[in-house]
Amino acid sequence: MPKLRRLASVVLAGLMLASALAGCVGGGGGGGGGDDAKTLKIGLDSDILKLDPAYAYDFTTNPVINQISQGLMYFDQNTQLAPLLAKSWRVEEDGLAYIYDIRDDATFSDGTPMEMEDVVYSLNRHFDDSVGSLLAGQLENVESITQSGDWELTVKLKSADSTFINTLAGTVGHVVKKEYCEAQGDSFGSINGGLIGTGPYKYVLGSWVTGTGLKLERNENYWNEDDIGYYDILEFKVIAEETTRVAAIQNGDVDILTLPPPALLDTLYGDAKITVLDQPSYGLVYMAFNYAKKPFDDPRIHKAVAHGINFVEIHQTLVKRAGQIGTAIPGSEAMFPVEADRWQNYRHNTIPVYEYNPEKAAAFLAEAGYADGLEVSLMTNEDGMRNAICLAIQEQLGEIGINVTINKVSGDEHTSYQFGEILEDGLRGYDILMAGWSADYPDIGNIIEPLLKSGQTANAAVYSNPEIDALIVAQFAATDPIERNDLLFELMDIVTEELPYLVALHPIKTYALSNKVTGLDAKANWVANVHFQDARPAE
Amino acid sequence: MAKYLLKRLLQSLVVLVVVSAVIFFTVRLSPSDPIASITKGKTVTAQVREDLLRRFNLDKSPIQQYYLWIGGMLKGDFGESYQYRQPVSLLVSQRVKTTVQLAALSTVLAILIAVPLGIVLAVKANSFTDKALSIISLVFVASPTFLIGVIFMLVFALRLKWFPSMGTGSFRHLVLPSCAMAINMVALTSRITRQSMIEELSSDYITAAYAKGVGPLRIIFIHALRNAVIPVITITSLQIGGMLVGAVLVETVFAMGGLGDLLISSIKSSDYPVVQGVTMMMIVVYCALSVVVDTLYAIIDPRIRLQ
Repeated sequence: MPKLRRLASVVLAGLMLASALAGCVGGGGGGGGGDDAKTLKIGLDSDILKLDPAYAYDFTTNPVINQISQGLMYFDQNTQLAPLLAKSWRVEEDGLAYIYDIRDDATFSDGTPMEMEDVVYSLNRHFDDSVGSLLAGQLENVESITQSGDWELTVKLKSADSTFINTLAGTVGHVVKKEYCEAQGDSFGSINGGLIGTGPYKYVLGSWVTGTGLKLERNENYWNEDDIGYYDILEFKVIAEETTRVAAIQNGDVDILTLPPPALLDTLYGDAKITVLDQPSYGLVYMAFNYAKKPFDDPRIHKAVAHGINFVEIHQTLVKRAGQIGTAIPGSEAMFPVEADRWQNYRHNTIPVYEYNPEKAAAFLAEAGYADGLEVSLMTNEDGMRNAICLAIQEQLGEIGINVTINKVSGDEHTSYQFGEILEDGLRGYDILMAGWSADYPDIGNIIEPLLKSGQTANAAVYSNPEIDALIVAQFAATDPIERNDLLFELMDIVTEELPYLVALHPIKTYALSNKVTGLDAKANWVANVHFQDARPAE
Repeated sequence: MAKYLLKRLLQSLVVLVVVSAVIFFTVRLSPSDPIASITKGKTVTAQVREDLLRRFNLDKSPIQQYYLWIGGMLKGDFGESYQYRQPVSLLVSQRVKTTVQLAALSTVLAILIAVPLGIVLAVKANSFTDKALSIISLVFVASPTFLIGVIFMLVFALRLKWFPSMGTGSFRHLVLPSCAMAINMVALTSRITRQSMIEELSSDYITAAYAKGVGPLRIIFIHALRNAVIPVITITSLQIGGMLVGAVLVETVFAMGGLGDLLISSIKSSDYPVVQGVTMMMIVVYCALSVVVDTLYAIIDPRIRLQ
């Protein structure tokens, strides 16, 4: 039976190959620390974009990058703006120049000192088109960034902007080692290139497996002795699937989730071994009325929609602990740190309230000339909660004669629509867009300019009002914070009356923490920085 | 035999060329702006936009882009990922290990369980054991891998704490996902084995063998199984191919970050070069598998060669 033997050997060889492949599983891991290294495991919801501050502009990449590189300024554990790689700063009287005294004692993770040329280089890198920085837009108003003394840096602005001081506290103000960055060229920020910064941790070269995670290890050369973390290794794990992300922390496979799934928050709150930290975020989920399409430029239509939706019920049944109910102001309370009481009073006592009231809704609809009903297309992305909200809205508006068609598009298609990159017959292809916006720092300027100023790509309502445009420019130029608030009140008087954006919710930023870990507190500005170096084991 | 192999290889080549064009142009039907995928929707200056268009060859016509892509692939350059800005080949090489391990382990598991099971079922055809096991396997055939994965995770990781709930890195990490994938395969393969074994066992040549006084074990394993194995190989090879896709679900559930996971995340973010690269590689594997299987048939059954 020679043929049978041949068959047997083929099958056997196949099996051996398969088991050899399966056998090569072991090993791996590698990189950083011995067996007794203290490791903190952090679950991320998606992969990081790049190991480069110029690409760090999302909830996932930022918490990783912020351990490796640092900025001139930062938001401290109490969400207060504070100097970091700068020692102090001052603003010229005309508001056109920001001057920073740079630290002369900071070192990079490779042990070399940080020099002024590194600082100048890192900030100017965003203007280099070949870098393709995602943050270049944040420096649009910057005229120049130059060294003006031994350890002094001057940032000149094109026009006065009282909020600029916040900008360099983000990743746009991070310093990377010039020599390393130039030597790496295209591979800077990649799996095998990584980056060198001044932060408490450094990237373990080659440890980033896309879609799986990466490892950081303690920076033995860290310059700030008061800020040294307990853990030797930060292991970031990418867990895209929501059920798995929750199971991972329940099973002890990770210690922290930076973005627990909103739909499964109840499970996490209900687990005695897990603490959920929450804090209002700087964001909002809005419904933008497309002014370029009639009749969606008519505030009466906006009011009809606002009165036709029962947001209280939607929050009780769908949003639950994942968000706060909004008002007619397109920004949460956290966005108004200056004269907070005055703003609270304005929010609760002055602006119009658009409560659920089908009769008022029908009246506004009739007044706008649509007593017989109106067809509306509502665009949203694949987000589960937003879809559920859209369905509820469809049902509720249906009762007052507004016939809603939900147009669900994929995540990045949605982004293209939101920023006006997809046009249909020259117009944005939605009547109403449900989308999200999050400010980089707690200042309403970071919401009103992109959302309300004429011609901004993020202005999904295609709203254009010369009066508002002038007020936006004026409030940025105002050097006196009280005066600035007066201008903002004036602006909000108009916005809450015209209602180009309807706030569906202000997301609550949550973090899930295993009870084995303590020392961290949730802060809204964790977008910019999670202070993992404060974490330590409980007990 | 060589001529037969050559013919099959040429056929595969034609398939690959056609499929590459289909993939390339289908991917481009997506209405989203590639630059928006590259910049994650962030506002960039006109200059950056122009540089990006040039860098990713998006300033050229689709036909030119297609030629550049094919030309690059022949030189081993699969292009650069939009979302990671790193070579597609590097991303794939990082991911392929997990998927291959997963597919290999679950195939071995499935065959080791399914073939003996199928034989037992065939020998005991229509008995209580046969009926009971048939119903169970029917349930498994019908259960989505995704669901089995989640159930395994909840039971064996979360409740019993026998295995990690997610990730890669050790053999223990592979057990739950491989079993989840194998279960589906066991169910189908054992049913096919049973079916073809029953057919063979009722053939005349088996009756003749019994008449000649050949022992039952020799009849089952040497005579009947040899002939019954062809459909089993067919279904197994199809399943290995399907596994590359099935692995997507398991990889997602267990956060393993394999090839399937890369494909899905790239589709979601319109990362054309990665979608094209991974799909192409999957098609190559599929074609290679079918050539291997056809060759196996020819080795096992000379009649196929002659046709």
